[in-house]
Amino acid sequence: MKDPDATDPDPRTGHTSPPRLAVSLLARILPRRTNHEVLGDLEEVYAGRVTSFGQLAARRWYWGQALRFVTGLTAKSLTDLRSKFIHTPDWHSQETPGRSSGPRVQQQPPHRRDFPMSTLMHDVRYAVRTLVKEPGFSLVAVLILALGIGANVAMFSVTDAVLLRALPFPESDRLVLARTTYGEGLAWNVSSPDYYDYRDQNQGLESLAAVRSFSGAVTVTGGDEPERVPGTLVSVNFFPTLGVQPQLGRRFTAEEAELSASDVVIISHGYWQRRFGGSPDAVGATLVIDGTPVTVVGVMPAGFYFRYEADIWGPMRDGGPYTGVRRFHNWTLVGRLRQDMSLERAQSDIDIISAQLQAAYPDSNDDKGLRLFGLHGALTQGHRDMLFLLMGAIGLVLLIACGNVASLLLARCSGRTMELSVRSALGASATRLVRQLLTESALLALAAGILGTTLAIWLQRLLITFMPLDNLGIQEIGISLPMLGFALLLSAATALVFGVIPAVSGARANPAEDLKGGTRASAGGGRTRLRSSLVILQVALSLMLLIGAGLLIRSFARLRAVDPGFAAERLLTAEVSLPVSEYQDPQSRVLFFTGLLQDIRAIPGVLAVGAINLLPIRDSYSNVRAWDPENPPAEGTRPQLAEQRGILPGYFEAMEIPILAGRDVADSDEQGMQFVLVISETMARGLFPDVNPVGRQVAVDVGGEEPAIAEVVGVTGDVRSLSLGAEPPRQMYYSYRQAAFSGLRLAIRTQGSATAVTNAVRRVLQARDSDIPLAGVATMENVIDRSIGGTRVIALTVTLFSSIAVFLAAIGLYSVLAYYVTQRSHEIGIRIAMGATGKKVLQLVLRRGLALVAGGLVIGVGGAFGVTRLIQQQLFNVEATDPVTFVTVSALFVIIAVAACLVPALRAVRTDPVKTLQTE
Amino acid sequence: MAKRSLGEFEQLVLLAILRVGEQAYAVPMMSEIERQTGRSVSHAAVYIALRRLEEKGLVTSRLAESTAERGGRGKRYYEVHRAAIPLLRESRAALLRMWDGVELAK
Repeated sequence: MKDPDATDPDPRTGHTSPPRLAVSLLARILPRRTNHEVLGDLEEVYAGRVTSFGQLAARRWYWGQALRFVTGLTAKSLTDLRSKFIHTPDWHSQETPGRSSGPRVQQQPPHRRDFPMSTLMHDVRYAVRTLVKEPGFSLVAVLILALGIGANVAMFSVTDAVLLRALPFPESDRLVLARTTYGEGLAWNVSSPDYYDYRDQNQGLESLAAVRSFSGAVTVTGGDEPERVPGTLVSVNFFPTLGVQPQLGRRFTAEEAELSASDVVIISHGYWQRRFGGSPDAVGATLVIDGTPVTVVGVMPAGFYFRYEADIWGPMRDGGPYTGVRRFHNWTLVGRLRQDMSLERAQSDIDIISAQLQAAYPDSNDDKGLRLFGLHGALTQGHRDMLFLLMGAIGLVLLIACGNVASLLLARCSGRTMELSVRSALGASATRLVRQLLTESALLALAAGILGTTLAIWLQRLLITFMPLDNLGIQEIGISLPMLGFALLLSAATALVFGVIPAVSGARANPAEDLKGGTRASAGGGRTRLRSSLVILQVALSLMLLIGAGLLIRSFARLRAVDPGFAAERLLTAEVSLPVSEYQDPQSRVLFFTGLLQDIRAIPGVLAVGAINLLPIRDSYSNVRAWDPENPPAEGTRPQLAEQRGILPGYFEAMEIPILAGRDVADSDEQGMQFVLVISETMARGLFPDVNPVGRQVAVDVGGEEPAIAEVVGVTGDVRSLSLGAEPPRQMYYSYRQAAFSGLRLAIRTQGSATAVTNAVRRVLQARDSDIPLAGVATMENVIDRSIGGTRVIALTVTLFSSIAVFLAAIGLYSVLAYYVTQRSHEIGIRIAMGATGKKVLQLVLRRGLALVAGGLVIGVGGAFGVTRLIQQQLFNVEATDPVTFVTVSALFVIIAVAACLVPALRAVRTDPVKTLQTE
Repeated sequence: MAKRSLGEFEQLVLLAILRVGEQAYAVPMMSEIERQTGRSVSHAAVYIALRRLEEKGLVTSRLAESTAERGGRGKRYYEVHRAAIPLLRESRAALLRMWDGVELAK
């Protein structure tokens, strides 16, 4: 009922310029001289492909071409590099044994060069030896990467399960969801008469089924104690349409759709276990549901789930609940396309029926239609944005981790200058050295990949628990082939990303210079620059993430601070449903509830109590058309919808909803008296903009030929009834005494803690009728927290990710500066010996660090300006470029960065000039 | 320096320039290769081959006008330098010599 009514974008419309990201990637890697013509060539062909194959295919093609440029150009520059360093290929390609203080260099017989496998084995052996020799470095690198890879793989497995994996039904690609359209608008549900017409007349669908959840849970009695059980009504062809069989017993028969047939239900595997202990005798057993005995005819297999949590499925019956009125839309439709039938053809067939219905029932169907969607896409639509957002955020974290490890490797390269130079002098080619260094990276990545995947299995469970994926029925994912494939791919990509820069830089060894340089660690100016750019990049990326997190937190805080229109503190909610069989007379229900409220009011600690059929935020809603009979809507337009709720006197007081004019419903508003309504401020403004609404009449469509006419007796404040984020719609409250249905929700205002009175309320209810359970007990604050759970999960997760990112960036900053201080300790020593003050030295180092931070800040803030637009949809009342967030987050970041810079800077101040100069 | 010879793909690219003639820029060259050999080639491969040939002095190029469907970006037209002609001739002759007298069993 609360599903968002979003429309699907059409991928074939819109502008036709190539994917921007790919273009800018290419622009970056192509030499400037040839930049234009290549992009021009690609765009020309791209335009042609859009016309002949559609935009989607063309974009895929463009990306393929771009990636081939990446690999092709990398290969080319590696070969170029090699030819630059190898001038005399003949003797250089053989290594000769030599003595040196560096690591042992194995002799390679010339013929072995030609066998890549043996070189590879050699590289691997050598790499293992090097990595084991420095366990500290290896461990840190593997751990950082494993964390990044693990989080990504876990996130991927969830995304894969939700978005990519097929539904657990046979040939699920033929399943469609059918939704009502109103002109441009789109709604989930379809009315039962429309459903029957579409079901019987359409040619494109093998079958079309309908499903809706019970308005609340039902009460099942006859066991040890009464219990509330969730369930759905389904058309008898529902299970055949999905292609599922009960594991025990049978599906519904066609006769069971008749109103006169005996009452039957199918139960879930879980309920079968709980209630019948898994006994086969369950089929044929009798359950008493809301006072009516029904026969169990089947048990569904474990894990069967469709859209609603359900333990009981009952047959939809024409003339039964929620049927009969073409204007009332209560049913979700799921259909199965005929074999070899396309969605488009089935849709055009449906459109013909819609046109006929529009002509036949202009009152209810004048702009109404039915639109088919692939079931999988329609069900996952709401999760797509969230999952992609989190995937993007966690991908950035891995990128920062890669930057960090690359920086570590670069620093290590500088330490290995001697080793590399010796190998190079002995004849190792640049390619050979690149390969050696890449092998080391690959080994690191492999180890990280294995560790990360193990971590992912654990993280995955955590993610599923936290993420609001309930309506997809995903409880467990486990290890899947795509997940392992992704882990492998990611590890390989990771190795490339963090390995290539250090490898190429390391292979650019210059033996003559390095060997001459002796012990003074002077090499690596280029490397230092590289590390600096890596740090700038890390700072920029982590700042972008942190700004994203800042926006989400601010948005969440705004959402949390929204005034729902009632006071949620110290408010206990619960539901009480009366079995229809024992409380058939509406008067008996009214009597029961007024008595119950009186008893609850008498409980010490209870300040006020109200009763309503559907609580805001907690429950779903029901809306009907309502208008001013003296001022009916113009011909051809239809009156607006208003939410309707039934209350007993005292509800507004208990909820602390202000009565702005007139009065609450009263005990005297009974059956047989004038039908009364209390309407919300928004509704009052909409219907009676210029006059006092109290005393005016409102016409309400109650499903019959003629509307019911009610008198407005009061106006109340608006209530956010659907969610905190949604503007309050028009609302009206009628007196429960005038239309008493079977159940009400309680809203109990307490003096102290809301939950403290739970047991007392239970006892009071028990004393009135021991067969009625007090169900769904929850404080209003909990209800609200749960309703914004998804937003909170996103905000928390992105905050967690960005904290990791900032931590990694700080480490990167620290290590680069620490390295800088070590490199310059000689110079710093001299400066101090010459009389430089501590403050001067501090400034020297800090300036260096802050220059990096400033570079990163500029790029990061700029990037965030561009990127945060992507999360605008997730934000509530916060602009994606909210200056307050940008400034606050940047300031926070600068503080962290300064702290990271201070550690090495202070170490520089403590440099002992005598010592540094002695070691020369 | 060792005697230079052309790789197979380099030959294809050079011949494509010659076949397309005056209007030889990457796009028609690629379609020509695809049409004649039936294999699809990536822009990257053609581009890199052209750069290599240019570095070796075997092709020359000039930048020219832009058109709207290219997002207002210019084209680069290629011409085969005469230095490439003997190499092409040699490649062809070598292949023909090698094929001479060879018959493949059906």
